[in-house]
Amino acid sequence: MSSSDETNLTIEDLKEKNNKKSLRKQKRAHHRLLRDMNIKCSCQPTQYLMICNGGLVTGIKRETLQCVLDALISKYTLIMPTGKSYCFITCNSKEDATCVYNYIHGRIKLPGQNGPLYVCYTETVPSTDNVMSNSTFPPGLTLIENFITKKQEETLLRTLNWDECESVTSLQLKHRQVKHFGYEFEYGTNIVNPDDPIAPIPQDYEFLQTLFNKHNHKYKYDQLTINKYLPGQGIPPHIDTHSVFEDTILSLSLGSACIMNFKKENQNINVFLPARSLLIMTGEARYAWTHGICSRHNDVIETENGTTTKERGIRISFTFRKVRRGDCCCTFKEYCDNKYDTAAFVDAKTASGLEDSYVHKVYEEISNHFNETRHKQWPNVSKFLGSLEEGTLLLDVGCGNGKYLCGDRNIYKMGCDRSSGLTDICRKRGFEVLQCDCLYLPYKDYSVDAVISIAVIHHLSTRERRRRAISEMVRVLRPTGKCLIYVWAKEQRKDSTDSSYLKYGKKNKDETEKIGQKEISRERISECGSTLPVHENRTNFAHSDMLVPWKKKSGERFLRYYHVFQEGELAKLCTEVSAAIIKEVYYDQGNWCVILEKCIDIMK
Amino acid sequence: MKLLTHNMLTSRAIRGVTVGYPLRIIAKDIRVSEVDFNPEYIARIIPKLDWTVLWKAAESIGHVGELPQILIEDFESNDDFLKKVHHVLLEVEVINGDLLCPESGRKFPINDGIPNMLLNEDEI
Repeated sequence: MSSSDETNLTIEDLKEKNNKKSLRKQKRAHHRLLRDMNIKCSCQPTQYLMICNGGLVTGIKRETLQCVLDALISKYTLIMPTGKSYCFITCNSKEDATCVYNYIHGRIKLPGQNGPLYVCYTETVPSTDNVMSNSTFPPGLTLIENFITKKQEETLLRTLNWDECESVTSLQLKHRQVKHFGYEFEYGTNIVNPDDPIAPIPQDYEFLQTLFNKHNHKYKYDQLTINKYLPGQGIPPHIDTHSVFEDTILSLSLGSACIMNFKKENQNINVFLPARSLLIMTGEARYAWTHGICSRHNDVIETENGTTTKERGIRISFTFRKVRRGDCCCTFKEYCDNKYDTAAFVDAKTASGLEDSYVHKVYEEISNHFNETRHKQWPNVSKFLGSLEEGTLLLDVGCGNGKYLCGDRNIYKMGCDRSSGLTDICRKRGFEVLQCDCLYLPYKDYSVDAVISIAVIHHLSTRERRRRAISEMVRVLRPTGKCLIYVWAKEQRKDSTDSSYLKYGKKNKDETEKIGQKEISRERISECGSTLPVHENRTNFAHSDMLVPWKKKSGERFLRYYHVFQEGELAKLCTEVSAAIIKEVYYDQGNWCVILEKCIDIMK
Repeated sequence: MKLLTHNMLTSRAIRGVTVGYPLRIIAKDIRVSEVDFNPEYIARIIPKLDWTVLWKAAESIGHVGELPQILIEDFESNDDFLKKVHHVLLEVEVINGDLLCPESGRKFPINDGIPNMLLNEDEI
């Protein structure tokens, strides 16, 4: 590093060094510095310099700057704080600093930079570089360097053909390219379907499993995800879904090295993953720490000389996972999705309190806004209503703002709802409504000809309450009377088509970006002794029981409790209701729907 | 609340109540408004009614008019009769008042035409 010739510098022949533009840039840098580090800039020369646009985040290497400085002065300290766009130089004297200033400021352009460097004098410098704490790993994390040989690495890379992806699934995600083997990983829900295997892990990779066994890894890995990261690409921080994969997850790095960031609460650890290394995530590191890779072209790394940047090349990672059969039994419950999906998550006692806070009260609060957003009838519900004969007595259980009560056909339509805000709205629209609980319908047995209940019983928080609601609807029906029930489906994507609920979200946001960012929503709310996850709207459901945000125009957020139904669940529930037979079960735009018919022989 | 709705309402969900039907009406405000008359529609509804309950309800709120206490035969072809039924079923509305459980005496308030049939947890 003796001559500046090697560094390819462009020395701009600027007649006026302190032209207006550089003055403006200096001024802006002064303010930023004062705000960031409480360091004042100086109009007069000092022994301290700041290169305003020469920090680690601009991708400048320590070595490059050292090249420039070595040619000018003999002794100095270069301080490059992480996460900053500027760096500092402590010179031996004001004279040295002036020399550097005059040579660099507005004149030197480093390779890869858009404009010349801007320099200013400062009153002091920050004490040291922010030393990164990569000395300690998260508990449960191991890195084996040189896990495979260079030759093996080349062999592995040769097996990959990203253009040809017929037999395997290759997804062009915004942030990276992906291939799956064994089981397809569904982005959005972050699950795999254990009953739907795809092409198994190729023979070419068998030797890796043998190597894993040598390192005492107990699993026979059955799911492989290969990611290809171009420079500038990354993966958002996430925890692999507990219920989907077993404890130990392996990740083999090929090609370019990179920094992987691990986070847990306020702990933040950067782990440098060199090529050919194997990362082993178990226990806490696997279950409680998020891991991710920043979308950047450079990584900030520690060297003997101090902090510097390292350019990224193409990185390929092989992630081996074992698909879980059964429940996750981890001890990190606050990060675990598993317990929410198992049978009864609230008992009968807390159910009504939960529904009161997260259904009834919310509907009272949002009734006006709800009314403004609920007008269009769902076509298949209209079709059902259209099939009813003249003189039908129809009851709409959970009628909301009465969108199915309108229409002047000769059907007597009655609505009922728990919310007084919503029944008031119905009344103002001239509908016949009353206020009641759907678990206790105030109508006689066999009194109505048809019942509809659209998007209602998914607000009931126990299976028994949902069953009882259906049983009440059947009770009030006359023999041969029909009942149409709609509930929200856990499956928001069916037969390769997204529901309109998901589509609406994608209209507003780039799909791939969304997929990347929403690996798992971490928000949880505890109420009545149960902990409920908060759903990220317009994404697939990761849980069966959750709180779904409702945003008012004012930005105020309300959370509504939902139990989303899985395929077959609604029909199963209906079979447990006596006196009715299932006429039809169907899926309609993200909802499970059933048409029941009241039996004849049950009549008194 | 229209009298057609009242014809179906019960308070049987209250613990200890065995029939809870028909509910008594204490009407404070009644509104009579004109509704389009469709004789066929009314003729189809009549067989579904508890006629006695309808008649008594109409009488109790002073709107029974000339409605006979016993349902006539061949009502389908009697437009004059159907019109009277139409009036009682659909044109008379209880706007404010109470519904009373015949067994327990529990009051269900009617406000602005909306009966509040919600029960407290200790009643069920």
